[in-house]
Amino acid sequence: MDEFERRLAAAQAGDEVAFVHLFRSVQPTLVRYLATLGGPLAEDAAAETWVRVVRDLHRFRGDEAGWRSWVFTIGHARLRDAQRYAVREAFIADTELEPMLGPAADDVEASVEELLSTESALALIGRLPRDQAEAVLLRYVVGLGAPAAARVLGKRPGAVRVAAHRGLRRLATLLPSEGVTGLTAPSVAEVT
Amino acid sequence: MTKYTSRISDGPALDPRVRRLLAAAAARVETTGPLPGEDEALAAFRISPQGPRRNSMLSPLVSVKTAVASAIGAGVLVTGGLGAAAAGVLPGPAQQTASSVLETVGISVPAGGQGADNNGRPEQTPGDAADQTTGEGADQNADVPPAADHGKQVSDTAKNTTGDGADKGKEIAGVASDGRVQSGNGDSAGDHNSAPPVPAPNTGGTGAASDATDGHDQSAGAAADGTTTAGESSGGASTAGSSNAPDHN
Repeated sequence: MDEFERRLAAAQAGDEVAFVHLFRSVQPTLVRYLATLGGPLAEDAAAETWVRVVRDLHRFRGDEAGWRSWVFTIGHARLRDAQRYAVREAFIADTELEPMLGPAADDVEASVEELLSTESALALIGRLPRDQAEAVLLRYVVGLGAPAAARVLGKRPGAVRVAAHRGLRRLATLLPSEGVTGLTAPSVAEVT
Repeated sequence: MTKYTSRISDGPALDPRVRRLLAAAAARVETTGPLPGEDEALAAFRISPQGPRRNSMLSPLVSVKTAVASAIGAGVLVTGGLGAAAAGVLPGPAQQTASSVLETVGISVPAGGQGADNNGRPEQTPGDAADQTTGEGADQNADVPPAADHGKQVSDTAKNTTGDGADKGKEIAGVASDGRVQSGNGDSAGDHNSAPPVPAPNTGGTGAASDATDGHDQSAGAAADGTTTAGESSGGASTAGSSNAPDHN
């Protein structure tokens, strides 16, 4: 039994410390995913996600990859519900539906330093068409395999691969050719 | 802290700029305190219906409730069953079983078959049943074969008899009435018309007899109008024909 399995079993038995470990293993990427796709709806969607997770945690069976896939499946569904509700209620202005973390499209080239941040990188991904952004986020930010990402999105793995590939190509067109070149990936200190 | 796996390396050949972008997007975040939403998630976890601790608290309660409900249900069933057995209103086999079982513990209840059938209705004797289905004359016909067989017998007699005319009619009437009704005899016919039996209906013999044995209804109709000889009638119609004969005189 590996560390994840022990923590899962403990959390299912009611161990709060074990649950916190499980929570922290997913929450940062979950929030990134939800915020990139849902903007201001991310916080509520994340909260709803964890309510569902703790409700059904005792029934979950699987490894760490399955755990992340399961949580993101719930999160994806909660975000969809929240967005449908928001559109129906029309209480959010169009400008507020823009990704809250990123710069405007015409600011990208001029924001080389900002592009180095996690938030701006996610904001750029958020400008992709929805299916491409979902696929890129799940595959390259969350780190799910194509089958797991397909389960989250309710699609076939092949469709996820195609969407991710198109998203990456589109990202390349969005990035400025100068400024980014030669820059290294940000350190943790820079991101935080 | 959690290590996040990036799939950047196993993807297609990436533009270096895109690779750096994805690395930035997937960069780990190290925090010392609770993550955003952690307190809410933990609160939800504390009230969630999971973990053996909560189950272990619920299980005994559920078990006790189930046991009490089962005991009450069993008591109601036993009491009701005993009462029904004592009243003798259980279905036949159940009443017999209850009687035999309760006798072993010294309780006497009516045995099955005493006043109730399998459906709880008052038990009927064969005679009663016959009265209900065939009327007053049924007692006399207790040994009459079933209707289908009886009709077949009459029909076979009509087809196979070697007699002719009145004799054939008598033979058929005798079979139809199981020998109890003799109205088709020659005396009765003679009294009726003061003349020998009319030959016309019997011309051809077999044909008239066949008609007469097509069924009781047909025979009855022939006898009721009093125009045919008693020998042509059969079945229950023979009785009618016999009784009609004096009226015509």
